[in-house]
Amino acid sequence: MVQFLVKRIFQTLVALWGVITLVFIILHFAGDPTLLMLPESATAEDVARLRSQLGFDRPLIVQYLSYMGQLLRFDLGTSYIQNLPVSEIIASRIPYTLTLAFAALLVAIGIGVPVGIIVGLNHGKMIEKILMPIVLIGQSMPTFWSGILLIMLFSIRWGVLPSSGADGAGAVILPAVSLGALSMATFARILRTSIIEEMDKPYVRAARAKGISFGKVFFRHVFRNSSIPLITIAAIELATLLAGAVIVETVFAWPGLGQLAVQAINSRDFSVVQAVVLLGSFVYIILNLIADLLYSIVDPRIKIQEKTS
Amino acid sequence: MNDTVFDVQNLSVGIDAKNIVENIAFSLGKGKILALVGESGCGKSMTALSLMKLLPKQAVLSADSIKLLGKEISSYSEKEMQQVRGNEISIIFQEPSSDLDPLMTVGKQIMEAIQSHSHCSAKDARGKALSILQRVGIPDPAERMKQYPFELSGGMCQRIMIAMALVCKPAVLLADEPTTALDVTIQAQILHLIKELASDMGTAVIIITHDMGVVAEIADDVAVMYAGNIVESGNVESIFSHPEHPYTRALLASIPALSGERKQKLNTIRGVVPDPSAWPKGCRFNTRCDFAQKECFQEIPLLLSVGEDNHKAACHNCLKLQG
Amino acid sequence: MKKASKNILPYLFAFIILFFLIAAIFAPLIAPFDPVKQDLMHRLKAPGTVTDAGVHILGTDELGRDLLSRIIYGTRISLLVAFLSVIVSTVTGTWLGMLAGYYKGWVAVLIMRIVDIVLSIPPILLAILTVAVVGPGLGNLVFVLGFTRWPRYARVAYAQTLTVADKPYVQAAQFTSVSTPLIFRRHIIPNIAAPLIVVMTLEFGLMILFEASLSFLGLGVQPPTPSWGAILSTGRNYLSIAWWITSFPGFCLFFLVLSVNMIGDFLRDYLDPHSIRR
Repeated sequence: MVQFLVKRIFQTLVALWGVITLVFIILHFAGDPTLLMLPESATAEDVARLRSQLGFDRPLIVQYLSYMGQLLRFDLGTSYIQNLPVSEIIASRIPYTLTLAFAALLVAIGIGVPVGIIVGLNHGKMIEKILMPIVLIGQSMPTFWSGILLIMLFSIRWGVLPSSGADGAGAVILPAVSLGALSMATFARILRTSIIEEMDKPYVRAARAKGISFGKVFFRHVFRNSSIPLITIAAIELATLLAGAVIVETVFAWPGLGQLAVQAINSRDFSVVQAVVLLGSFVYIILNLIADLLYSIVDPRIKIQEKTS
Repeated sequence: MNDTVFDVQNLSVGIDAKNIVENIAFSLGKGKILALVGESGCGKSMTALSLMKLLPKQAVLSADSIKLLGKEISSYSEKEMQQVRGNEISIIFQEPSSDLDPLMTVGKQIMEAIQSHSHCSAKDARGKALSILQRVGIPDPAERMKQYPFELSGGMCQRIMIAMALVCKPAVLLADEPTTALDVTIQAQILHLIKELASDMGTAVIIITHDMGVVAEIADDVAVMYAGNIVESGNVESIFSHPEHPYTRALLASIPALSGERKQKLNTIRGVVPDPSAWPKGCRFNTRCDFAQKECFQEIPLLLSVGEDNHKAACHNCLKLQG
Repeated sequence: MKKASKNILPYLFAFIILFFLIAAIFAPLIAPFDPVKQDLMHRLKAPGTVTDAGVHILGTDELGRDLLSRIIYGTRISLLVAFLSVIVSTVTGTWLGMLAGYYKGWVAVLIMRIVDIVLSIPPILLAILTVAVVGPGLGNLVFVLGFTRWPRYARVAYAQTLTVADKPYVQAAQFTSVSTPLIFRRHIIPNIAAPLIVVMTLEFGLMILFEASLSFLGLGVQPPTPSWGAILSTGRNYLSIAWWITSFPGFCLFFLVLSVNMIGDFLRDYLDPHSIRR
């Protein structure tokens, strides 16, 4: 287990380093990054001044090392548009994005899991044939369009929920539903497949032979076994939700990181864009690590295999 | 005989309006061991599941009577069956390691069986589980209780399945090929365990097997099944000494002899069991029988008495021989 | 029940895709109006409004442009960007994946490590970052999407090549000094084609979505060129007075993506009956 942990953490560190390097390469890909950081109206002198100020006139390798050094100190640089440390700008937005992502995960699990159970248990029956197409439709809905539809219905037609901003608890509902729809479909589909597979396993019949009611057999045995893939996927889905927040936040004017990134691109505030991308990737990588670890906690078989190998 | 614990009359199982098991009838005394023998595909396992009323959804059970301890369970609802299963009639299967929930410790799974039939505390259930594990010969049961199925060998899992099946002291134990998936050395141990526990607890056993060796080892009575029917039944001695049905004879001839000429070719039965959708008209063994006559292709032979001790066979030729 | 629905549905979805394809190719012939011609006198007219110029079947947008014509021309952008970026990423990814699988060793380590790293950045964020560097526009969009998505193909090509390269007939070809390009052409490419086609189809749907998303965020094709995502984005400001501006392009996007995904799922089942992955 320890060996596995160490190996997995090492892999994660390599991935983090790779992402930082890749972002650095992309940043220098277009030539001079200072051009990206200044408004188009900037004069040649402005550019030169900022270039030497940021050290972009140094050799690439030196720049790369100092960039790495900065990041190791959690220094994300300064926004030249807002004249604030990037970490400060980002910190103020994180709670919003987290709230949205968790609310969306809640929607996804709250609807996806019961739907998955219902269709999984009624495989081949009418109710599956009715629910599955709805799930598939949910999966093909572009989030920005489902968001717009929700606004049209709930904000404009019925006027029950706000269409934008983050004032009050009600404001999170529409963005969360629109963001969670995709993951909801994923949960429902995976749980369905997994339940259908587990129901055919011999231990189900053996458990019923003990004289336990079907409901108990399902919740104590089948559901527990079926939810293993679900738990790992939940961590990965949360990462996907965080990334998907970019669009949903723009649709609903939700003041999170995604909206920040889009605004930053439009205002050529490149250090902010870069910071959001780095942060997003880090969270994504670390959630993947957590998914792996969760898997070995939930399934006793994995722990032992690691122990013996 | 008044100590009959299990009596089945005219049991059939159908799938898609086509019977795959037909006219099964037998009666089982307290503590007796009945072997249900036949090749794979002859309907043995379906028969076992139907006795538990655990058939797959698409299979339909019909029976004139299934009497367990004098109660007619053929008309029992699912709810009533839950009281009976694991309590008065239990079953163990072929693949013990996959019959246990991989995510639950074996101790919890045994306690689950106990607590579903008696309202006892977790502590009492644990005690009962420990003592039954000891009974089935598991060393260090307290430690085993905490382990997961994948940490145990196949033989160990089968002992646990037996413990779970017998913990409520049922009247009948169904054992569906209980040793097929195990090592040869373990097989004999498990068979003896079943035999010993059955006689100690007075539990009647129906053992389902394709292996005549197993039958000889533990059974009191034998019922030979072919293509969904019982073709011959009787006690072990009479079946082994005077097999009447050509199929039974062929089965016995295919046991490798331990003594005598080594070079002797092992007998095999030509052909395979026909699929239920392709059962021939008349006697279903007629496609593989060396003695098939004209009438064997026209009429289904009935299971009729051919000797003493309730020895019965379903074969036109046997009847002729009897006169 | 599966059989009947399986036989008809793929044709239905293929028909929807064909429908959009025809609209894209023959846009100038089909579109009733010039998609960029403004008519400020007739802004935000509801579907079916008749003006001097003709009938605006799906209404007009905030600048009085005909919505139907803009959607038809938008189909062009959607399909063109998706098609080109799938080609770019397929060619790049497949070659790199095949090279890694064929030569193994440090080539494989280098390429597959890069694949892992690119895949560990959420695709939409990577696309945003690259657009921010290279700037918006049609050509850049294709480059960005191709650059973001090639690792997907590289993984598939790598895994497939590894298994194929070990097959006796490929090794026999190597021993008899058949040239490497010929081995690729004759043995490896035909064997990895089927899974790659499935990935290409599913990615095609994703690329349509990505194009729309980036255009929606203002990072895609620039105005006045009509793109579904951009139409949706501006229409968002007129939700309460002009529902049609967002509804129709949204429907088109939804149906097109759904159809492509369904065809992808169908192809996966058809080409590889063993895969039961989601």
